[in-house]
Amino acid sequence: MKYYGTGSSDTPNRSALGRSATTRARNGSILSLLVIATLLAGCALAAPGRGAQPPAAGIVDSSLQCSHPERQPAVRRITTQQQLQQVAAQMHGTRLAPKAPPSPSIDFNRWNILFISAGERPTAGYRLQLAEPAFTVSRRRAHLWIALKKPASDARVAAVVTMPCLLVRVPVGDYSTIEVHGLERRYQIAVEKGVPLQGK
Amino acid sequence: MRTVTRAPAWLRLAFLALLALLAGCSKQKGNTPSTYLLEGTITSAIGAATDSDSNDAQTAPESNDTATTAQPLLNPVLLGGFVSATGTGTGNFADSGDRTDVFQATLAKGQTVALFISDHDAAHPYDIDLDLEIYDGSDITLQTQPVAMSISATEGTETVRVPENGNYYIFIRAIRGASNYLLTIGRPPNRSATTLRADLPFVPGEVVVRFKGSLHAASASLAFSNSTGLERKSGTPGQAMLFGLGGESRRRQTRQLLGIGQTASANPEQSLREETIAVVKALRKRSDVEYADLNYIRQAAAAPDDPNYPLQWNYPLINLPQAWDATTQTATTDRTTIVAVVDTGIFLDHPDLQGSLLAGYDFVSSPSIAADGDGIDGNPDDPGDGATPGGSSFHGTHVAGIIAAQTGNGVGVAGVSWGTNTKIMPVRVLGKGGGTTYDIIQGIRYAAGLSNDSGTVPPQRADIINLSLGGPGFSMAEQAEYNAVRDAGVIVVAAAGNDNSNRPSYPAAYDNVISVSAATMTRQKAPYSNFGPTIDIAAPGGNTAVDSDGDGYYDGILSTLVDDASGVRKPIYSFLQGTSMATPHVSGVIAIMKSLDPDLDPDKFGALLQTGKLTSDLGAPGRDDIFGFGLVDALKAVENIDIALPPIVAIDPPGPLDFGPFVDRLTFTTRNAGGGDFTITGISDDADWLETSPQSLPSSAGSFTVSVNRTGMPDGLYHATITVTTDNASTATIPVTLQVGERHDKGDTGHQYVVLVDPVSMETVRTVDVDNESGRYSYRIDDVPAGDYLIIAGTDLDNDGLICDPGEACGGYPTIERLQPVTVNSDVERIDFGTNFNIIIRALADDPGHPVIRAFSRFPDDY
Repeated sequence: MKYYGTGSSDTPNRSALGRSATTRARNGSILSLLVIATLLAGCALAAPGRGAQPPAAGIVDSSLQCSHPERQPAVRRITTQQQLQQVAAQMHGTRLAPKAPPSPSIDFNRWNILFISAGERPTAGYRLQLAEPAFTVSRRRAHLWIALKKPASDARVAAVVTMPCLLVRVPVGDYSTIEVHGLERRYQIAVEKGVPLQGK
Repeated sequence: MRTVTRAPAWLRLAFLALLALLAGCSKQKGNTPSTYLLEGTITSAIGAATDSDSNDAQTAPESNDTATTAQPLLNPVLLGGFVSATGTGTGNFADSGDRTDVFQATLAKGQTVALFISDHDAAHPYDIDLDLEIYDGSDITLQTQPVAMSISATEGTETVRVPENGNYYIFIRAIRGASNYLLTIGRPPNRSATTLRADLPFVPGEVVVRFKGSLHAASASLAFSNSTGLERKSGTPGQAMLFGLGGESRRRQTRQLLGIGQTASANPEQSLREETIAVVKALRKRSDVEYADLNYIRQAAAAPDDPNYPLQWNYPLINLPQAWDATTQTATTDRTTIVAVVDTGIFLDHPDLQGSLLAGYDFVSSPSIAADGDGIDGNPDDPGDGATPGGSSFHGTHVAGIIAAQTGNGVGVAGVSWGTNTKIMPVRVLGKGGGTTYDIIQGIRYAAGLSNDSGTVPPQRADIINLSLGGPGFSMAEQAEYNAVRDAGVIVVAAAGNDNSNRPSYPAAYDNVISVSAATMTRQKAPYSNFGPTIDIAAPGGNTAVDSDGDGYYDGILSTLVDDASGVRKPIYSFLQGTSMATPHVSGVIAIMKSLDPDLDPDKFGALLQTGKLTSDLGAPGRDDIFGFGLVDALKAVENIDIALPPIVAIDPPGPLDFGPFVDRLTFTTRNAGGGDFTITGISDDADWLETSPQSLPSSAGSFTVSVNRTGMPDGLYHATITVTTDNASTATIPVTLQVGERHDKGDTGHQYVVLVDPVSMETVRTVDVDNESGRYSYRIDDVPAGDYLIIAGTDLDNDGLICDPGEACGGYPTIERLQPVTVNSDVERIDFGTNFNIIIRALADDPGHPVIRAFSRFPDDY
């Protein structure tokens, strides 16, 4: 930007000016292309369907009736098996009997676990699911793509208050932040870098 | 003279465009430096408290380092604090650290005290170590050992369970490192394990006792008999044993040994009942008794024996048990009353609905949302309305259970229409993502016995159609269909919607449809319930954000449901909330009325509703836009049916007696709401802090005074039941709740910094700090330049310059989770919002190092 904004103090002759202008224009064009390419790359991250393809993310648990204390949309990281059981109990906290089975054991050295809640919704017909692809990594930032499905605006729907939520696993890797997209706002979760998983 | 050569035109244009872009990205700064006022109020969450000596340098620390300077706490509480094992280098404890925080509170046996270490890092668990200990509050010298402690070196959470009722010191010690923390004291233990159910039938003169583990020797039972006067009847130590009160001489001895006074009842049987209850209460106080209880007669049918019925608070709230006295003795059972549940279908194999279901139909016409592979068909079974296992609502099954779950079968839950011959007609109209008005019209026409796309009609049309569904959009054609259904004699009931707005939801807002709003356990408007001029009646819809009665479950509506997470549908029971849940209460009560009076039709029902004969008035007198004509009252409904009723014990006011934190005395009256006569033979209760007078009256009508004695009781929420027994009518029970200790009516989230943040750069632009005044903070920021700002407030307990760190209070406008920029181009007032400690840390205790709510600098960018 500084290149375009400040002129030279030299007084070049026409030919020199011509060369200079041509060179500058060419350099500017190249730089512009680089900037545009970078921007496009950045834009690519803003929509699912692009980016690197690390091992697949997956849903560990889900519920339409979370009894999570926060009634607003939320994203939380789970780092221990104890936390996992606590959150699983909240995810199925409206259920009286029989109790939901315990969540499976997780190797937290291999997977980052995120709890994702859509918050309270006024009717049935809302649900959270993973987008396709659900997980990409770029420039040491991971991106998890969630889709919040809503009922059609003119649909007749069951008048029960719902609170959809997911427990999602994503592979650890060479990134220190997970950005979660797809709720009303973007969430950033700090994580420790880990050894990327091999395979699918 | 220097010559400036002009760049090519395209380059100049690009440069100008770039300048324009940059100008657009930057905050607007006009040539005229206009500034404005921005002000508002921040409200602390009720029940919040703050450590009196945090590291925030802008606060004057009040030491709470020892038992003599312990900071008093109410119970329950959520407190944010800070401790440090060594000097922090900054703030109030820069040099010497703040190694200990001590609090004082009255705690109840079984309560959990939990410490959440906010800066704990699972990757470096040894960096920070905080411990939690509680000491006997009567020993200020702390010569004794802690009565409970949790001293893990690596965990992010420490918890202790309170061993006995009493006053305690709570110590939080910093062993290594420095950290914010959250301290929680939970609710008292669930009542279910210890509540005496004197309302259920039991054998007078018999008690069931189990000794504690160490008392297994055979001689223990002999010693027990000698010290209580009770006679061993069966069983051996190490398991439940049955003891009898024996004859009058032995009973006199027992009363003397256990310190029980003679009962006031003149009726010998009632006297023995009351004495048996008193013996159980006395035994429960003994240190050698693990549990003592009445010897219940389980096969009795005086109240539903469905095991989860005690959790169905919504039925006593609408006087349903009294109405059941009529239905179980008087209702017509030779004629079937039919309620069509027009919904997602029903899980036809749910065991608690077996015998309650008729044939129905599936009117979901689009195979793409039907989930059963075809269009309309004759199978109303609910295959699920979700895209994945575990993602379906199975809404119709829940609604059906409220109306007509099998009751008195010893399984699951009770349904409203118990004692009547009410059946459910399942009509499926909702699939994935909902349904269409066309399919719903087909469904209601089928239920009403009118021609429809199925080419069939049911052998007997429905009497009531329940529509726990809705959506926007008025349609003349749809209105005409509901008119036709009413003309056919069918009463249509529909949910008012859950948007907490006055936007009409259809079909509830149509003429000739009963629109139902939702009320909570405390007879308030449910927070989600719609309101407005079309509301006709209110019913319990639940509120799963609170546990008003402290029974350990959120106040949802419990009913039948389905779990298909495994890919196979399995029956379960679950709590839900919504006007969907309120609606079937009304449908069920209408079914009771119809069973008692087969001539009930829409006109007759409407007349009763509009004259207040079906409801308890709530809100503004008469009809109002919140509750319509009031909360549905099953007893009033059956009273106003013109038939001969059996004697019915009615209690006024209906519902629980709530003494709250201050009231010591309340009254209730009894009357006969049915026919014939009865005499009250006894009044009893199951709590030693409760007294009802007079003990008995020789007639059905009377006024009773209930007194409570809080002396010696630890802080907390208590429950009891008063039982009214008669000679010729079933018993009536009155729930009682009591608060001991000050009830939170405000909170204190500590010294708050209110920051204006640039929504683009997320940099802090301005900051003011404010102190708590009776749970509120009034803030005022002068000279704010025109522009858009995010408004955030929070504490900085660790003095790191950031607010909203883990363990710190945080709030924002309008909420911290959904921050919205405030545009300042004139003076702006009433930017109000709430603040609280980040309660999620309670759930994710040892994961505070990665907060979702980001921290904000409390120092402006140019500081």
